[in-house]
Amino acid sequence: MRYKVVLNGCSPNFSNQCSSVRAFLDYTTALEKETQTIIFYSNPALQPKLTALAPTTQVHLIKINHYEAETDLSILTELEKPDPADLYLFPGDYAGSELAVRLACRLNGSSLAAVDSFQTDQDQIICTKAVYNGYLQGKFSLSKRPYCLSLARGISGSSNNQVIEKREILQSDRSEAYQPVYIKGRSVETAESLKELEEAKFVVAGGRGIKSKDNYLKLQQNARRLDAALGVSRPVAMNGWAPLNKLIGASGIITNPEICLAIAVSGSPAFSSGIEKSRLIIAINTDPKAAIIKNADLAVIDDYKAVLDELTRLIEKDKNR
Amino acid sequence: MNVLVCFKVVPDLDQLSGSDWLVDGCSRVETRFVKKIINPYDESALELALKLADQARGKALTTNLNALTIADSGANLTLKSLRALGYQEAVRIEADTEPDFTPEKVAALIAAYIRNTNVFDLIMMGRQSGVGDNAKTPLLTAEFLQWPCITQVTAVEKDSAGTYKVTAMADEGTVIRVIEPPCVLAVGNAPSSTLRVPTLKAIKEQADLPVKTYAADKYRNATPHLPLKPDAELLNIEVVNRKRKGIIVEGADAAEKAQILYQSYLKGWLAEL
Repeated sequence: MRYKVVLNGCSPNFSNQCSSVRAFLDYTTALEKETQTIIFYSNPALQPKLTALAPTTQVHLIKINHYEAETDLSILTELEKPDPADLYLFPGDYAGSELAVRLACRLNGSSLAAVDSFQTDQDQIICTKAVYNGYLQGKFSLSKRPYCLSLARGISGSSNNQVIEKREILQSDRSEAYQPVYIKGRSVETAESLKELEEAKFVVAGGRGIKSKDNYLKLQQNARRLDAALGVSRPVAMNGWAPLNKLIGASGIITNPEICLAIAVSGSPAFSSGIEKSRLIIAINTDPKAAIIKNADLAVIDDYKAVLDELTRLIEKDKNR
Repeated sequence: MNVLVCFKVVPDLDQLSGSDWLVDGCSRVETRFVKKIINPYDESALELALKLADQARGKALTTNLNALTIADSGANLTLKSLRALGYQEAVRIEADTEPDFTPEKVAALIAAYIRNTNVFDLIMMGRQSGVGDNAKTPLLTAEFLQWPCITQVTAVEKDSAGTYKVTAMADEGTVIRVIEPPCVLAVGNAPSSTLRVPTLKAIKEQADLPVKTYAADKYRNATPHLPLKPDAELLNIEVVNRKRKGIIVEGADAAEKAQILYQSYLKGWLAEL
């Protein structure tokens, strides 16, 4: 099966996109390894880095002004005619998730978003993905080519940055092509780096049970004193108690720490998928029936403030010795 | 300006207990008797549209808000509440499809309704909804209409008489676009977008007025080229097991529990960081 990987080189999370695609390809035996990666990029200075990280030998670098779905879709549709593929693989970030669905529609193929596994089965492919808000996993069959799949967020593996010695590089400049006419003005507020939370060894995660913005700010102080990165569940971010770039879970950041202290979180699957790679999960919650208790290695059933304050005191005391 | 917000009433899956998720050999979970809520992303879309109307009013611009759902009559109460909140039209298309795993059919029906009505310049809906978790309906609606689409929208304002200012999360940060309609907006994690509550007086005024309801065939027959089959067929479902040991740290009070947690477990882990 001939496939193309499509990556967004305009995004600061490019290396994460490559890692997740590489990990997915490692688990998937049904694909030829030597097909093409298409990288849309805007900054020429980044070309060598983007090329080096690409998961296939053949790389097509396409220069555009900045990422806009309409631009990428028009170029991808145009490229399909002379060089068709059976499968388009997109990472699970914002861009990949929208491009996969819309490209399939334009190419009269089929799509599935947030896929976590893939196999071929005669004239169809079988994929799995989270359904029922992440409580369950669904198995789906797709039979119309080209298949356009975006990956689930947080797929990772061990052989992330395996070096590919020899590259075949194709370059094109499409910065003048397909400017979306409906956009009359555009500005970007660059987000604070998400790396602190993504790469933290120790994460404190606050849930709905913290109840207020004031308590979020107190939790922030605790996290600082513990040298931990602070994240929150969706209700905390949606209530405006914490900024959106602190959101952990299926629609936010997938963390990968050694230790996660889950404070007053209920443990919905959407949140749990953001901390389930933690080596040690400790839940602090007043409700012994909360789902997080069973999904944790250790649990303290009590008021989180009293437990956390004492824990912070003990850790600081040892640190200052 | 005419804004259409599409929404779906869904079961509140967080209300289901562990044993409710036993799905041996099935491809669906029984959710008929679970409490219903507006899909949270759609709820944000409904509230963002109300905020847009408030803001436009401040600029002396008129906004017509319209709501659409594809559902059975169980959704009528929600539609009446939306009218009580200021939605001028709240329409239901009788469901002719099981909506959870057929985003192509749902989007085709929405697109056909929009084409047939031919008055809307902005379509808003949540980026995804539970049960199916397809994350496809707004994208497909845009493609069927051949309209542009902005995803992960967190705010929308009227910019001038002919343009909107749309704020959206993107991989590179927050992108603010000034756009000329028509456009489909897929609403994402929009902070402070819990749907406001209507007054009792407004609810009473709407209670006995009928909900406009249409048969799906009225729109499907007009758009035979749009898909009637989903891209991906659901074969089966399985429970995701996230269970760990769940050891409860016991102690006389919070301080003692913290001390035991630290001395017996956490201290060793922290030493290895």
